[in-house]
Amino acid sequence: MTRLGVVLTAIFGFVSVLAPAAVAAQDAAGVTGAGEAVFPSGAAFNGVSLSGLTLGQGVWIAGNGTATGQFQAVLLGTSLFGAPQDVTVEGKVSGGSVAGDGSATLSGTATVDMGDGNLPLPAVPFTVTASTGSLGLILGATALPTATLTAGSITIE
Amino acid sequence: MTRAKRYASGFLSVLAILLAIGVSAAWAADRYVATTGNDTANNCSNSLFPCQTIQKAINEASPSDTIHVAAGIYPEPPAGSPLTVNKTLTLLGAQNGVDARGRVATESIVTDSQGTYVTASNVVIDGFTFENSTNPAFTNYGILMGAGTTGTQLLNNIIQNNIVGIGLANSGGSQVLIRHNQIQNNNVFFNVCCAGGTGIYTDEFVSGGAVKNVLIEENAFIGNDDAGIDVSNTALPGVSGLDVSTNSFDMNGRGVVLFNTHMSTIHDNSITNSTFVGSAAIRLFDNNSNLSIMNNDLTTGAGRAIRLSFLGLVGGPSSGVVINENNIGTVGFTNFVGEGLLVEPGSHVGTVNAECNWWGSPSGPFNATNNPTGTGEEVVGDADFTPWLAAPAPGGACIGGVPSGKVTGGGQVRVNMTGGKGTFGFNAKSDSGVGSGHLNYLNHVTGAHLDCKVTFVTELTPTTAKFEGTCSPNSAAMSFMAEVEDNAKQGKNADKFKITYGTNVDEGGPGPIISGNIEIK
Repeated sequence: MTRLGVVLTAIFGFVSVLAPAAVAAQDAAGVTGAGEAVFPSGAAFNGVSLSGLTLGQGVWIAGNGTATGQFQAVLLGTSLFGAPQDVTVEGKVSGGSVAGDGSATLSGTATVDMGDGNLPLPAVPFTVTASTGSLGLILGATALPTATLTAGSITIE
Repeated sequence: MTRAKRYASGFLSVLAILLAIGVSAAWAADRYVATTGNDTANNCSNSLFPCQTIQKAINEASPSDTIHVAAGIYPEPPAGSPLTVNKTLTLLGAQNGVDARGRVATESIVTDSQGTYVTASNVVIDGFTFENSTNPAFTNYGILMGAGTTGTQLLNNIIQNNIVGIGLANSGGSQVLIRHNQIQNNNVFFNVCCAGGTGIYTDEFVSGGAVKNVLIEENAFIGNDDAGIDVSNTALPGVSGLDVSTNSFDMNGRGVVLFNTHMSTIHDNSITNSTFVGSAAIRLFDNNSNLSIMNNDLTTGAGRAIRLSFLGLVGGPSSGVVINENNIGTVGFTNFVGEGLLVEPGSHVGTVNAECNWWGSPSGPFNATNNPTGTGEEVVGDADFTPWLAAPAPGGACIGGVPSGKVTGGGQVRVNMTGGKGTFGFNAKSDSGVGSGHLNYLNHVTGAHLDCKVTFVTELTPTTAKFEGTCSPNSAAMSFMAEVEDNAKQGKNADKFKITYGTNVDEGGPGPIISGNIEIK
């Protein structure tokens, strides 16, 4: 049943639907991506030789340099003994920025599962530098060479 | 074999085949009726010497014949019996092929006080007026489909001023089709007896049991004081496969009344000015299941727009009733006297899905508990009405009532039974219902890739979100819809992601993600 005062309330309700809320103003940029990429030869992490990776990321970056979101990657590798060994990185993004060239830098801490049957390594700091065609990853103290996107896409806007 | 013998053999073979498949259709005759005709010593087959009554032509006809009835009034003697169609015939009135809605023309008018009774299957009646079936001793109906019949087609007829307009039956072999009729003012004995006041009526006695496979479309129901359509079948199994679509209902007591109706749909109808105080434009009683009510315009009525009740007359409460994309009320005060939706306690198994309806206000329906600031039609009872349409359908975005918030995710899901994976990354945001964000997705098995903008967030709770949007031209589909769950701080094996795009439905579901995380804030 329609209530009294419907006209004014409807107008204010409509305005409230259209009015931007504070949450919108806080976000300066967004970074998302899903894809496959390849490393140049010689890439390695903790003794695991890496050929490429898959990545999935979804992040909001605020104007003050903080960020919220997720970064996930599977580093496709080979063990010292020649067996496949994938390293899984599951990161929570807490900081971010977008550079003048359109690339984005994300940082946070991650859980790293070496895929060797041992417990995952917790709270590993990471930094991601993403552009629309490539991805650089610093994991702990290891800076991996820039991987080139071969499938999927990365969006920075 | 000589040539002559071969010809004879071939002829006999063809004749045998014709006899085997039945050649009556090929030899179907035309019969003619006019008020100026004569029934005496006449088989009605000469258009220059037509019969005088339709019943005479039916009696003379063979199955599959067509009877042409000229304009005029046909009381159909003998008195004391209905006009009975007991063969598979096509009856064509003067207005055959002409939509009866709003029609003003010279008519072939059947005025048998005991109505017209169809006892054969696959009868077609096209282009008549049936009126003044006012004797409750027999059919009660302008046209009654006999129990056990199937495939009746009523096309382009005006059916008016009877006790009941049409009695509905279909044993299910062929579809019953009721199209382009104007069914109005069938109010003789309304509130007195025998379903008086109803446009189309059925129950277990009328139908003789189950009713299946009925399409009622593009008709006008006007001024039937009980209901436009009343399905009061209170014996199992009831009615199934009923499709009521693109009809207009105006000034009827109720638009549609359903008992015991299953796997059916009411869609794209207009129901206005329903007059039954306390009832509803769409009135659901016991034991309806898997019933969709979609894309209807329900405006103005003395009762409710939609009401669900359980009377305990047949089966259990209704279940699987879905009410989406309807316009229920308009902005202003001239709407329903009662609620937009009333779900009475015990009338439905679980919560009624009433999402994505326009309730007459961008602020959504008034609901004392869940939306007390809504100024649209009221929702009472166990119904999920969030999100609602922020503007009328079609075109209104289903974003009403979605709170502000964000959801982000990155990870992997399984996309097939053999361990194939898909990777997702997204950020989505609802700002008082306005959605934004982006989604990227890659199916590593098929190579399908999505690069999409988020345009609507249609659900955002502390643990669930749904969002949708449009994709770039290099994507595997033009649009997508995603559903996610944030079930744990660590998303692996707990959070869920599934996506629908193109012909791919719920890819990545129903299991949890195998890596990554989804977070709702």
